[in-house]
Amino acid sequence: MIQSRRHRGYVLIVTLGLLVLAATMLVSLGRATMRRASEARESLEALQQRWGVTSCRKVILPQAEAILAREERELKRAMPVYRTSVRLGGQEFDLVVSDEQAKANVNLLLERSDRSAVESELSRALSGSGLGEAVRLRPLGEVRRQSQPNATTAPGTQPTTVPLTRRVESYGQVLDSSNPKLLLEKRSREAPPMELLTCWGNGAINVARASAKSLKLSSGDALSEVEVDGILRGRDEVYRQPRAGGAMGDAVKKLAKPVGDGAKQQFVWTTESSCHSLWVVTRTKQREFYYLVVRESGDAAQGIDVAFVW
Amino acid sequence: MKRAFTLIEMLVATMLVAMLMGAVSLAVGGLARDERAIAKRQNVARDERVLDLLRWDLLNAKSMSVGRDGVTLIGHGGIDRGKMTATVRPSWVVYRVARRGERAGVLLREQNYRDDTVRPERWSEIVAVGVRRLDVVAAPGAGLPEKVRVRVAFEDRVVDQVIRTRS
Repeated sequence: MIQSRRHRGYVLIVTLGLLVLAATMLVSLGRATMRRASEARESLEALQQRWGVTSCRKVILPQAEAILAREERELKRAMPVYRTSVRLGGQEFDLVVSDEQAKANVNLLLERSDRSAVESELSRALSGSGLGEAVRLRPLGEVRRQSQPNATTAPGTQPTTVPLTRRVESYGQVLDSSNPKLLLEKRSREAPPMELLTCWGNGAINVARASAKSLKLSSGDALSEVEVDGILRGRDEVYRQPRAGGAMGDAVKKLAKPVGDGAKQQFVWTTESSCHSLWVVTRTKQREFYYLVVRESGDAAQGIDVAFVW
Repeated sequence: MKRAFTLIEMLVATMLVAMLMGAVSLAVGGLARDERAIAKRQNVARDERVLDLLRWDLLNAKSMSVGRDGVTLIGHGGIDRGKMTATVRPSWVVYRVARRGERAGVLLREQNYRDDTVRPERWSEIVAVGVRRLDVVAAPGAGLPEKVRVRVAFEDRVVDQVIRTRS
């Protein structure tokens, strides 16, 4: 009887031990499986994200001008920047299409004035955007000559006598904090820096699209506030009552006529843009990814885009 | 006559179960804690981390040159040393394997800014340890090729991947 009792107790303990062992193994296996599944899902998301960005870049960037022009026709106003979102493969992509020639070109400003003067000018222009204090120009010492701007110049004016040199080629050379969120997002009523400034393009500003602030910054002393207002009023009128093709160019040519006098020659303008950019913002659970691709139509044939990733 | 378990046997068994369950939950909790710690420290695996960094630098590069010592990328892939965030300032980035003799070495990423010759803020970081060799192969030509083949030979395995430089 004593032998039998002892035996039963032993069986119970062994069974319990086996149960515990099995449970532990199952838990470990479950955890490993979950970890693998999670890694696979993260890889899938990363791949999807890269394909999404590639698709946006390949499809949207070549159509940037057409997208902006269509919006302008529909809304009957200048549209230098167009924001939208698309959903691809279950992921959200925020897109910002913009005309780089509708912004003041930092390289042009640097040709016109010295570094500290341009820094002050930019700080004033960016005050209110949260980045006014962050302006710190770091132009490249090695000067690389860009091609002559193929801009439409006002009657009686010469194209810029000095070809535009690209000493600044990224926002990182303009601002101490190139936090993409601050570059992109509107704070209070001020336009974000990416809507005001550019480092790309040939320096000619597209008066058919530029904002008052960009136009003023780009023109420097060449245009007074009143003249800028006059150009913008006239332009808005043209958008409201569109006429046959070329109407915008003719109207702006007429309005921008005073630009041609003597010292005002550094202000070069156009009504057609050859440089566009696309921002793609995408998110994972861990972080946000910002991609910026700039395409100049002169370079597109050679397949050269400038890309930035944050 | 069939006998059931005695009260004492049941109590002992219950106590044993409780102790074992406690031990199991402690072990599982420890595992979960370890896992979280590992995930925090190294959210992506070593290979992924190396490839991600290389991919990021290649995306920000405008041109690339491959030499015996490693690969040099010229672009705007600047990283702030203090904050470890992108500065998008024009930079030179060099990846090279530093080795002593035949032993495996470390994969280094060296960076200096091109837009400030006075203060280029040169610095380097160890991207991975136990690396024998880094090969970056691309079609010859001007600018940055669309596809770059990256092969990193670690002590224990070889990672070989084609990186698209445009996405």
